Amino acid sequence: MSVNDLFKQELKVVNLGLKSFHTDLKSQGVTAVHVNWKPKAGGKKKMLDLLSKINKVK
Amino acid sequence: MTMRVMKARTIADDLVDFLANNHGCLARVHSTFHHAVNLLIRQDELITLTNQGEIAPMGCMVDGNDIFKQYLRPGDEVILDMDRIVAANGAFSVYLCEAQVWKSEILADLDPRPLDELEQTTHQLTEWLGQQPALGLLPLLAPLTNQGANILQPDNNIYSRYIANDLKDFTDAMLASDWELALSITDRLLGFGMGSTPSCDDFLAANLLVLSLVERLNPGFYPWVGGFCNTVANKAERSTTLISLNMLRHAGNGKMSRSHQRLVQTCLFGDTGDLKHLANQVLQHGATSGGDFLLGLVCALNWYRNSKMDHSKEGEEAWVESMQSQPVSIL
Amino acid sequence: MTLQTSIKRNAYYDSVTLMLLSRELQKLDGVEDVLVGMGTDLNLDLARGLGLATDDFDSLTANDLFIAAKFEEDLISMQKIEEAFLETLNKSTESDGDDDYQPSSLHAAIQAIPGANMVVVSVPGQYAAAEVEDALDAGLHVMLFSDNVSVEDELRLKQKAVEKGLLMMGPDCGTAIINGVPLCFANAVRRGKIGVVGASGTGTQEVTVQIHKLGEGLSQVIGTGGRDLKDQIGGLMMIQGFEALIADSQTDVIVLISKPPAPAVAEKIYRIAKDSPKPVVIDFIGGNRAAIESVGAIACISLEDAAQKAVGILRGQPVTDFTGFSIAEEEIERLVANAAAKLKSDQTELRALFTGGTLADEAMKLLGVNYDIYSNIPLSPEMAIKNLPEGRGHICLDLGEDEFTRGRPHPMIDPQTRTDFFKSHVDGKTGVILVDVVLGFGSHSDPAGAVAASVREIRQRLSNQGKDVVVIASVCGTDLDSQDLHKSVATLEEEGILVMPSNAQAVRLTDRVMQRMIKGV
Repeated sequence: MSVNDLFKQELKVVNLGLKSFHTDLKSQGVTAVHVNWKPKAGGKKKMLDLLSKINKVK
Repeated sequence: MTMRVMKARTIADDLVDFLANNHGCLARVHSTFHHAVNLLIRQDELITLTNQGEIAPMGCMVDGNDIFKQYLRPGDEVILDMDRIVAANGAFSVYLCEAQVWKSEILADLDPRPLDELEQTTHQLTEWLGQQPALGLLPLLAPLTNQGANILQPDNNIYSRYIANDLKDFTDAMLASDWELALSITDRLLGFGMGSTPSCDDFLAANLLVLSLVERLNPGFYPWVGGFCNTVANKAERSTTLISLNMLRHAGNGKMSRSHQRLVQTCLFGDTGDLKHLANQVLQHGATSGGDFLLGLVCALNWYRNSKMDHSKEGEEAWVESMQSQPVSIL
Repeated sequence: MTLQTSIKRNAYYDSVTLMLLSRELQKLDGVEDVLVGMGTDLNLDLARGLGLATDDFDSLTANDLFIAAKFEEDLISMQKIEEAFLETLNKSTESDGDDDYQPSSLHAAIQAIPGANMVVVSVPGQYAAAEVEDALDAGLHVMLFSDNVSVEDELRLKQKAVEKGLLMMGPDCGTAIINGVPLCFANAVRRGKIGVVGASGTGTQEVTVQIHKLGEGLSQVIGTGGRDLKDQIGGLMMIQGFEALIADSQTDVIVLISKPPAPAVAEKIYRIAKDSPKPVVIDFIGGNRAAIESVGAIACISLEDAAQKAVGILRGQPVTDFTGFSIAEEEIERLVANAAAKLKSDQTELRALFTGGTLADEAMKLLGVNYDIYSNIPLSPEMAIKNLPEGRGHICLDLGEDEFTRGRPHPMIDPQTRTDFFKSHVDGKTGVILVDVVLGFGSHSDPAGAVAASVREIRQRLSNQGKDVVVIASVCGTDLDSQDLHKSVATLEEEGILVMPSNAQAVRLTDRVMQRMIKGV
């Protein structure tokens, strides 16, 4: 979907990070979902390594 | 944006074993509830995390009041390590190190109650159960415990009405010591009823639990029990929900969640607490799960009492005969 | 009578809920019979026995929940039955409404909103690139607010975005308005025919606000992030946005805003501008006028000027540089005279405290030529703020820069940082204070109030020394912003603050007052 296609669509937003950005969008009636974002696997290196090893095997 | 860290308060010993031998593996979320989540491991086995309710086989109780449904969706990945369980999406982790380990198997090395006490206990429990709201399969209490009541009452609900005759056939077969017939009747029971653990499965789980304990209490007297329990579990793979399948497997291995465990222990071995209080704890499970389990329990206790009386009547001969029984065939 | 089955695959509900459900559904007007259960063979047998079977039964497995209903079509529909199902489900939850699944990942969120087309990323920098990559892979456009993303990552992600025809606005992109929707820090402006691509957050805000004030509107406002026009990135998003606006039927005039690009990058942009069928206004703040005009684009001398020229071109009017003021010279002279009269002879220093980076930049470009201004964004290295001799001299600070926002919110969000600087950096030698007041989404709920309170405190402090001070401000906001432009201006004026209609004019007025103070001119 190109940039010009985007201009013709209704904006539907996924917000990752600061909640206030999502609140502002909702206050304007924009379709938006806020992601309760956390670093993958808590950002802990050991977990991330495990996760990538497991995912490689799949 | 920091990960929610929970601490495990209690962990089942079978889960500890699993993690020790399989650490660093991935589980997938099978189902989520407000205060519990089931994780799928291997082909069809479940691990349960919960912060309300109670500890169960392959279970772990954690602190806090979090709503698991907010963190996970079925299909999400969860990393299982030896000392912790971590949601791959980073929503939360559970630290296991300080948890108390709960023995999931009912101890069968205690002294069993003498028969007359067992009869009294069964009678007390049946009477108490008769006073509870007749939900699920409970309308069938009187006919199934041979109190002479008509099997089909007008106030039976649609489920109990439909299954009444099959359940009666099952309990009659058990009382007649025709375990092979009873086993074949389970085809007409498994997967039937309301709930993620259908009513008949709860009923059967109570039976399997008692059977497996009774077999351990009386080695050699019930050699068919192992095969019976395995077969029911195998049948369940095709005929009921995954959650129920896991419950039935555990029951066949003498394991069930703590309140059920304590109640059955009290019935068979005596004095681990107030009978009515423990029965009430079980009754609270689900909408009808507890009641259906209790119905199964009183039926199983009746069977056990009956069979013990048979055995003592027949004496040595019966013992020899059962030792020479056909080896159990696992269908 | 109609028979229908609703199926929830792999659905598990606690049995209390299921029991409630059965009861509630049975009660519905028009429902003759209904069975809710797991799709085990025996449960389906029961359903068949009750005459509720439909063809859907064949696809049911033990782990699926079914609702088999027999109902009178005139009285109720399966849809209504499903609605009752959901209502009962929601009622039976223990806590109130906020039990809903809150996705913890981008992937889950995309599944939750079908048709999602934009991801706004403001997570910590070290995690941002991975999230942006996932978003682009999923075919979504990106607004990347986070900074502390490496140049290598920015390049790689922008190349991917260009390949897929997607926007990757950022990193460090604070302002965009896509399809009329303000994202992150942006003002409420009307829709219209002018399209903007900007590498500068508050610069973009100022231009859009001025366009709105002049009565025109914005088609699209695309951000690129502050580093886009450096050599390493090569203007990838500026070009992507520029070309999109050329192709956009709703855009008649295009405005480009940035600090001067690397020469090679500027060249690329000029080439596109040359072939553009639509007029292009280029504000490369302080950039090469001749080069811009040689390709037929229109050069600018300030952000306000860019807006004025865009509006002028749209209206088919002749365009000239806007160098002065929008109020009459006599009035300006009066303001300058009054201001200078307030000051004692030793009050000769400037304190310019900005929350918007590009607005600070504009001030530096205009004032830094005439005065030695120490700054954290100095025009030359020897004017860096750390070189300020014993705290004496003119100061202009961009309070949104990294060194001031470590562990603190950006001053546009929380005015406290500037309030602190008002206290610490203004004294008896200060003659003029220059500030910006930025309204709009993302900004504090009453930035004007915060400035007014600080000025009140300063004037009280200085009155003890028998002194006063001149405060000049501009408000970057519109009548549609929640902070209310008119109320904000009134709040400032009540404290005796001189409010000018644009940053450029505020800076020019500051220059006039300083000239009067220092040179008596």
